[in-house]
Amino acid sequence: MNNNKWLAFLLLIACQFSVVSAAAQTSYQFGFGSTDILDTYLSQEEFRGEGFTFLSLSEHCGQAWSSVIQNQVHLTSAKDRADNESLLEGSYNLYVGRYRAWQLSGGNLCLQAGGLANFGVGFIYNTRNSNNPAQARLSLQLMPSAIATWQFRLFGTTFTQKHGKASLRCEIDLPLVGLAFSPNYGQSYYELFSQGNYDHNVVPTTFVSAPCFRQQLTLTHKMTRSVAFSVGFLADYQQLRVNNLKQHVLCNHFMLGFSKGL
Amino acid sequence: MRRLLYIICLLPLFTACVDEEEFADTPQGNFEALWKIIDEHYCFLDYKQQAIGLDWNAVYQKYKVRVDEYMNEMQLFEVLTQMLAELRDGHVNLSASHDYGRYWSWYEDFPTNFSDTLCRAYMGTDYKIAAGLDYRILDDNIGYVRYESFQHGIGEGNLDEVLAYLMLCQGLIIDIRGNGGGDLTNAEKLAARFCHEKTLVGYSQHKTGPGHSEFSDMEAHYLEPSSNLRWHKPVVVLTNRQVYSAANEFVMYMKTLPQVTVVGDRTGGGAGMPFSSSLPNGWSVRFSAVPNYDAQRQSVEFGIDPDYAVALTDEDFQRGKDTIIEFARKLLAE
Repeated sequence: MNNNKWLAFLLLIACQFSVVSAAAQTSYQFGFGSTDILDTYLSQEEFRGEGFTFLSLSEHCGQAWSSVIQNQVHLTSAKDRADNESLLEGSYNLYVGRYRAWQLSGGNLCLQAGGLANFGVGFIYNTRNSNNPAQARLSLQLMPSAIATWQFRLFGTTFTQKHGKASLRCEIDLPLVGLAFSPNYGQSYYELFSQGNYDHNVVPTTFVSAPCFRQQLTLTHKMTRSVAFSVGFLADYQQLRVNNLKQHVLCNHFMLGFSKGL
Repeated sequence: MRRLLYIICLLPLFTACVDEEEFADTPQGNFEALWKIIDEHYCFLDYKQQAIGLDWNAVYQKYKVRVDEYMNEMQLFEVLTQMLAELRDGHVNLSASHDYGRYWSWYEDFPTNFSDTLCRAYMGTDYKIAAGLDYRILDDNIGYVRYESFQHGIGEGNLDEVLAYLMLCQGLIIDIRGNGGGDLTNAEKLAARFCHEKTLVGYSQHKTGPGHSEFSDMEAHYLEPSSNLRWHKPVVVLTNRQVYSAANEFVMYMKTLPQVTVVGDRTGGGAGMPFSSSLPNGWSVRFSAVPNYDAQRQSVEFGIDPDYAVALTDEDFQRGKDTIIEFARKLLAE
């Protein structure tokens, strides 16, 4: 990519941010729930535990097009089924999306379809292993995505006239193609970092080799003119099957949060 | 456009779970899990089939009948440890809360060729200590450095100080007898002080799949000369059967250098960098995963022969002399 193309790319990203910075809605959600972790580079066993999620979402929903930027942080502590061994998992994901929007039912239903670019970085750390104690996670994915937002009356007309309508938002993100980092099947990080021996460590992924799935269901209701309270559910299934290694981090988290700037 | 939308709608059908076969937490389940981990991840199954006639499928049949649902944990541990011992690998261990399963015959079946009593006689009490290195100048102006374990870290500053102190000695003895390994970077750091040009010291490869023969190409491993103080005079490395893993690699590196002589017993081996995994009942298993080879692409899993095979003798021991150190001193004095 020459310099002009890089500049155009950076300008495009900047435009995305500038659109969203003028957006009507920014929400912050904190979640807690179960997380299942498998990484066959570290162990053949599945680990289960509790995890914490922070999710910030900036959304601009225009008449025809909308933009979304999401920042998501996961932290999990998990144990094996014998309660003998621990895993720590952490990840950060940046989702930048662009959607075509359709207003239906007199504006009460907004359907959006588009795509997300998902950049993820993270780690899984096994507290007991010696030469294979951790797994680094790095990926870039293009994900088809759809959002449905339904606005409806809650607790009767008087309440709605005073506080405005409630909204139920459902987002589904699916994998398409991408790139992911992975050591090879039996490759040590010593070979990678001390000896500089690389072997299929940046792997193209598809919806078959990285069958990720992410769903958010959020119920939002205004508490004041500009602040809304939200409850929701986040199912984030990050999976990878490359270099004969298998990995999944499956989060089912109950989310609480607030939105502002509606 | 409509066709693209249909395809996108069908994508959830492909988002199947990425999962691993889960074995029951029963004696049979743990046995199956352990056998499979070794079958798919252990890196010397093919090599040991040729070298010692190991047949891992036959091992399965042999030990499967010894496992039943009524066994207690200790009985199961004993059977699984015996099964792992078929690999004849000191890097293979089974860890439970009550015991540590191991195969240590690679040195237990041989003379130690090292005496702590004699070592203390040579070192005295006024020797110097620089991180993991104990060192002093012997009476005949020979430098003596003892490195007990590569688990003990050393810094470039430590090595500078040690070599500067021994600079006027006519030769150097590096005694790594009993060194069971540790951090490979410590071994490389020390060897680089005796290397004066980029030297091919060996090869490494890794498994690329669960098959016994699925390996990457061999990657050459070069030792780069240290940019700090280096030793140009003769060096003798002392070895015994307990020299294992990273210490075995150190001997492999040093044998490629022209001014280095290895004296003592054959090393214990251990040429596979170990990985870990776990069983349904929480026991941890360690196994060789990344094989290393010498500069001739030969495995050093079962050890490296010294240039001069020398053993401690009872007569010398009675006289308070370490036969191997004395042999090294004579070599360096010549």
